[in-house]
Amino acid sequence: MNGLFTELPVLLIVIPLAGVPVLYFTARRGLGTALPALAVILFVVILLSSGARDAMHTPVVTAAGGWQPDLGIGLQFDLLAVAAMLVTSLIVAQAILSHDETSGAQHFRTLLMLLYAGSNGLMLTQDLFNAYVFIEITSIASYALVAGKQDRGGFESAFKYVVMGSFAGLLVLWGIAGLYLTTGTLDIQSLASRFEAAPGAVASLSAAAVIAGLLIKLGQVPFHAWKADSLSGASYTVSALLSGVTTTAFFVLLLRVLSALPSLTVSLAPILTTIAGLSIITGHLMALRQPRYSRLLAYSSVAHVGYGLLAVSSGAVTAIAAGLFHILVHAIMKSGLFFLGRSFLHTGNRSDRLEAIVFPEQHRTLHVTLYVLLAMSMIGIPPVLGFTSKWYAVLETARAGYDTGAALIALGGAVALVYYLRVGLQLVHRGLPELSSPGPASKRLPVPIAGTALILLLAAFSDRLLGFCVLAVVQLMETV
Amino acid sequence: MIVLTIGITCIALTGIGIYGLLRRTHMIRMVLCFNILEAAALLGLVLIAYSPDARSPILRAATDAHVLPLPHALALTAIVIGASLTALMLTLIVRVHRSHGTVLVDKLKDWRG
Amino acid sequence: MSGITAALAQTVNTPYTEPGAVFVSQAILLFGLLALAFVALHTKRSTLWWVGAVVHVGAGALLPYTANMAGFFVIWELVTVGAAIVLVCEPDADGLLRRYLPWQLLAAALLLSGFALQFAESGSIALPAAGVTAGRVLIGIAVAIKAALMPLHLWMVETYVRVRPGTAVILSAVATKIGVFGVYRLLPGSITLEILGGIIATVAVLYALRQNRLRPFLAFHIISQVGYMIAGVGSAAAVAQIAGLYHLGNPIAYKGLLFMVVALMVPMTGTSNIYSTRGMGRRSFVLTVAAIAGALSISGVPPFNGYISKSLLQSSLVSPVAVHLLTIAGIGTALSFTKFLWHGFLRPGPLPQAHDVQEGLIVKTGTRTITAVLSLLCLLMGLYPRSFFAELPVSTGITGQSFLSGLTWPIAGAALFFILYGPILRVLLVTLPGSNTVVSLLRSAGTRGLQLMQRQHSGDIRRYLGWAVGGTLLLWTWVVLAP
Repeated sequence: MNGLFTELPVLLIVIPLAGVPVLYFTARRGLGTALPALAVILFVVILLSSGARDAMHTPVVTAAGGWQPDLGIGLQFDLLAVAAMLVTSLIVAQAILSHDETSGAQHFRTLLMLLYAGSNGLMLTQDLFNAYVFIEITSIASYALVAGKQDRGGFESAFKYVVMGSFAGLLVLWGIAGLYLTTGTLDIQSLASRFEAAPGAVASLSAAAVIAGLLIKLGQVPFHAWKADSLSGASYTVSALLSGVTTTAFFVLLLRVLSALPSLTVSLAPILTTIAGLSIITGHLMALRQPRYSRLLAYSSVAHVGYGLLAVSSGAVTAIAAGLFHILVHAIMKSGLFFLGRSFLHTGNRSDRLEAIVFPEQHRTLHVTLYVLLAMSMIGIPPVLGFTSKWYAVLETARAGYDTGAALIALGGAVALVYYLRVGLQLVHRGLPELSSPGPASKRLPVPIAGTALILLLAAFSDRLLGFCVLAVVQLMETV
Repeated sequence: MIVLTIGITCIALTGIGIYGLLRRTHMIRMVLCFNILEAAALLGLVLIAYSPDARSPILRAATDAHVLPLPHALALTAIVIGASLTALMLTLIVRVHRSHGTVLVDKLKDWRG
Repeated sequence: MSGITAALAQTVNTPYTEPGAVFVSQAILLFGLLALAFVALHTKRSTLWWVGAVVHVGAGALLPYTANMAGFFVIWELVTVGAAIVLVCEPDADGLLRRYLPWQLLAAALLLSGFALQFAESGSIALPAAGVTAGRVLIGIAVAIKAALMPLHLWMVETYVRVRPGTAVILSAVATKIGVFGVYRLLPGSITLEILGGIIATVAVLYALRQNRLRPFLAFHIISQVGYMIAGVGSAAAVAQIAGLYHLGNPIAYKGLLFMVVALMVPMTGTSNIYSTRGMGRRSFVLTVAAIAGALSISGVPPFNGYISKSLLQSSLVSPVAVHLLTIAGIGTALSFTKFLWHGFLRPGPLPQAHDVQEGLIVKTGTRTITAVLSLLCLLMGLYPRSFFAELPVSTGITGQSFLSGLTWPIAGAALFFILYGPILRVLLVTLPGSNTVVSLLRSAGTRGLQLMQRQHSGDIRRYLGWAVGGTLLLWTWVVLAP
């Protein structure tokens, strides 16, 4: 392994974090912020892909500042982090490109960099308290982003989000304190051995508190109810970030925590799978009757994260890999649907009520095609990537012994069809409503085209992508 | 003795905080409840570090018995995070009051269902 | 591993070539091509429609060749995708998609769950030749939806009556057939399936008798014929399976024929009400011959092809109950088609007013040729069955004696129409519940449940916090109490 490289993963956090003040001041001076923001993403992606080969053999562990873990903070640059960060970087880049017209764009990018730094940290960190700090960084950035529309709905959403998010943060803090009390360490890797050595009620309760906090962040039943309310008032771009970037980051952290506590994971498996099953049912059923685009997609996210959680809590390596794969694919396609929502605004209509949204005349066929592909992917209809990831999730979950869960994942698609069809028919068939002031027409093709193209192209390589995820999970299990 | 006292205080504060969060409708009170909960967590952290007859972890002589330094560092960080969260919540409350004309959280029902 | 791209490659490289599967594939392909030709001659359709139709037929014909679950599922879904594209091009696309797709996706989801159970048990995604060993109920419901078995038939009746006639021909070529093929390929033979097939064949005929509109009438008869096929391919007896497969191939000729006749009849007589159609016999000789050939085939009158499969089926089924049920269904079918022929073609009386008749749509030479070819096919498949499906037993064929005995039940049915049709219809109208009863009951219960669920999400953040606290306590309780 390259000796120099062991220090580089720090940059994955430091560079975006350094971008925050830079972007803030360029924004204050009215300078463009898109290019520097994109440069940061590009840098991160290059770093990721150059480090991926090293990570393929053994995960790179960085001891920040030369302090070894247990006293210092370790960063775990492994395949899991590489895979997840590549996906989130793609979404963040899409967000930068997509948020072009509104007045708040500059502050938006500043906050976006904060979110990006926080989520990268979440996916890399190996230290629990450090994870707590990154949870709060990510969350505070997203609270502010949700309020970014500066209107009635935005403030209500942000307040509800901040209440639930702070409660989740406190749960995590309590849990971390309890784990430190009983095991005397905050390092996830040494936690693994010490937790097994000294199991006790307090240690288990603390770990459960951390998991509960993460379940709130992931929006799983019964911790899910804030999710739709918080996305309702956010702009489409912010919703895309929340359901793509932060969800992925929290899911990765949950994976790391669960893999460090194998015995607890086994004993929690029944209740975790129940939670996941309830999330799938509730998410899909609640989405059926939603009157708004964002809320509908938010509830669908509850269900899809449920797929991932179900596969992960079943415990088998291939099932965990399938769950991870589905979460990553879901991040791409769900954010794609939200980005697609931005084109509704080009008709001059600000509401996201289903009876009001419609695709603009410009690029109409392209929009419709994109919607159909994304919806097919969400529902899980071949030949798109969303289908293959669902296929693996269903089969591997069943093989791990959770038949009912597998059936729920499969049936979820049938329910999802009903609401995606409803939205699709609205978008396609309704004529343009009479608008007093048509919005600014965008010369640019819709941004999600990149995401959708990916979905299409990658379906042919699904076996290989799943293999990558399996490798990542095996690595995760081995290093702990 | 002191451990017991602080421990009971910590649990009591947590109970009060949760109760207040679930039963009080005034947003400012909810913020206060969060602060109480956070205080409870900080007390807990300090309690973890505590050991009888130990001094604060500032090294004067290597032989001094001192309390664990790490939880204090954690507590400091948590205080900073708590303060910024409080600030953010208060800002949002001001904005919600301007847009909704209320500071009662059960009136925030634009989004539901 | 549940690898999917590798599995799909396997379908292409090493196809599954069991004779029954090959026969089904050829049947679907042949009928699909004929249907496409019919539409091409009959009306103009958009490019997108053609893409969908070709995908639909092509995927249907490909399905039997796959030997693993991944291939089966993907191609099964492609059939649906093709149909969805076709439906998008129809005038009432909204309503059609709403009625068609949810059922198809439900079937796919159930199939996927069933496959998951099978995979969990066998650890491999290969499809066992003798049918799956796990998840039979789920897979059974899935293929039942696809085959439009009652009470899961609503999608078919509601779709086929709303599409343009040519589209109905295409859709009927594939969907139900792959459902039946699913029974043949995925489910091991059993007496239950025989009896189930018999019940469906009978009940669907009763519903068909009640109909006064042409296309629902035909749709229910399709369901009834599917019941015959299920009884056959679902049987444990090898001969019955072969008879069932041959019966699956027969509708290539007669069902298509009947749909084409109906498609041409509606514009010519200006009505789709069976009781108001008339005078076709004096208007088009070819169509009349075609209608008679189709009706005789479907009623199982020798020497037409329906007779071959039905008689073979009745003699080879294991369960006597199923045999009796199929006899009743046969009488009902004969009765029903006597009604169809009598009102539409044979009944004397004045021709409809000239302005009711859209002369422009009158049978073009091409469509006339296709109906003639199909009529001939009905006859040939009856006379030389083993040239079409070599697996049929050597004794299959028509002798003088079997000719006479084969006439008994159809004649009884035809006689019933002239003697007792009025009372029978009145009894049926009173006693049978609406065919959508089950589904609409479920639907209203579901809506109420959803409303209740939505009201619980009241928007009060304190309530949500309470849920979260409760959830955490639940986790904690579990941690403490769990071993």
